[in-house]
Amino acid sequence: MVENNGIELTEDEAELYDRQIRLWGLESQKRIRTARILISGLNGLGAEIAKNIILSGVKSVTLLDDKPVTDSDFCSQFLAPHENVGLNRAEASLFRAQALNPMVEIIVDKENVAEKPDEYFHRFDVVVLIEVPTPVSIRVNNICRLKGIKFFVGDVWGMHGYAFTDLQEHEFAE
Amino acid sequence: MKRTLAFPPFQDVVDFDYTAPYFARKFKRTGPSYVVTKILQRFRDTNKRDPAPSTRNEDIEKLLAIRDEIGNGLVPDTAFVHVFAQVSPVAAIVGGELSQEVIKAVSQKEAPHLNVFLFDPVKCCGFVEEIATN
Repeated sequence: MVENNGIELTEDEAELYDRQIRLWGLESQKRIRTARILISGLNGLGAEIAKNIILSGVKSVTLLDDKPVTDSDFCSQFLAPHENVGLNRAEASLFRAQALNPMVEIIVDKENVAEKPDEYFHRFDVVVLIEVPTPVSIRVNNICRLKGIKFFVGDVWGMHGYAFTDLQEHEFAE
Repeated sequence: MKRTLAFPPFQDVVDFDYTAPYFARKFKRTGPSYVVTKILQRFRDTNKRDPAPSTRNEDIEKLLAIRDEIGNGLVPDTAFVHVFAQVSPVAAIVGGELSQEVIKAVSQKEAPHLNVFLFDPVKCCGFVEEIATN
C-alpha cells in the first residue's frame, strides 16, 4: 500500500535530505528512511549503486562480496583505494562508502552470496545482485518472490551493460 | 493516482525466446544489446569468470563461439571489442538507472521500468525493453 509509514525524520535528516525531499517529497523520504538494502558484488557497477543509494538516505546498506580488489577494478571502482589491491572488495569499500553519509548504517559481509541460506535474504527490503552466475540469480529471485522482496540484477562488461528489475506486484503513486 | 504493475520472475527472462520473429524485428530497431548480454552471461556461467584482458584473444574466440551457438546472425564480430573490465561512464549510466529504480521501488513513487534496461555502446544510448512480460 502507498501509505504513510509513521516514521518521522530527525532534524539532521530533514536538513541533509532537504533538496531531495523537494524533488520526491517528504513521504518518499520517510519510506526510503526505513529501507534495508543488500548490494552483492562490489565492482565498478556495485560501487556506483552503493554511492547513489547511500546518498539517498536509506536505513542500511549491506555490502556483500567474497572477492579481492584487482587492478581491473580501478577502471571504475572508486570506493576502494588503489593501495587495497588484494584486500576484500566489500571491506576495502567501507571507509569511503560510510564517509558519503554517516547517517546510513553500512554492514560489510565477506562471504559468498551463493553460500547464503534462504533466511539470509529475508532481512532485506531490496536485494541487488551483480557479477553472479545465472543459477544464483534464479535462486535468489525465487527466495525474494516468496517474501515480496524487491529484486534487481545488473552487470557491466566493458561498454555493455544491463539491469533487470523484478518488483513482483508493485503498487505506486504517480 | 495509484497504479499497479506486475513483473515476471528472472527465470522467465532466462527462458525467453529472443529468436522469435516478432522480437527479431525489434532487434532491427534497438540493436543487438540484449543478445550480447546473454552471450557474456553464458561466458561467465561456462568459464566461472568474466572475459579478462590477460586472455584477450582466447576470450574473444570463446565469445564468438557462443555467439555462433546462441546469437548467430544477430550479433556482429565487432560487438566483443570492448567487453573487458568496466568502463566507468557505462557503470555510471547502468548504476544510475538501477539505483533510481531501487529508490522508486522503495518510495513507491513514479512508474518503475518494466523490466530490463540495456545500454547500447554503438549508439551510446540506454533503453528499456519488456522481456517476458506478456
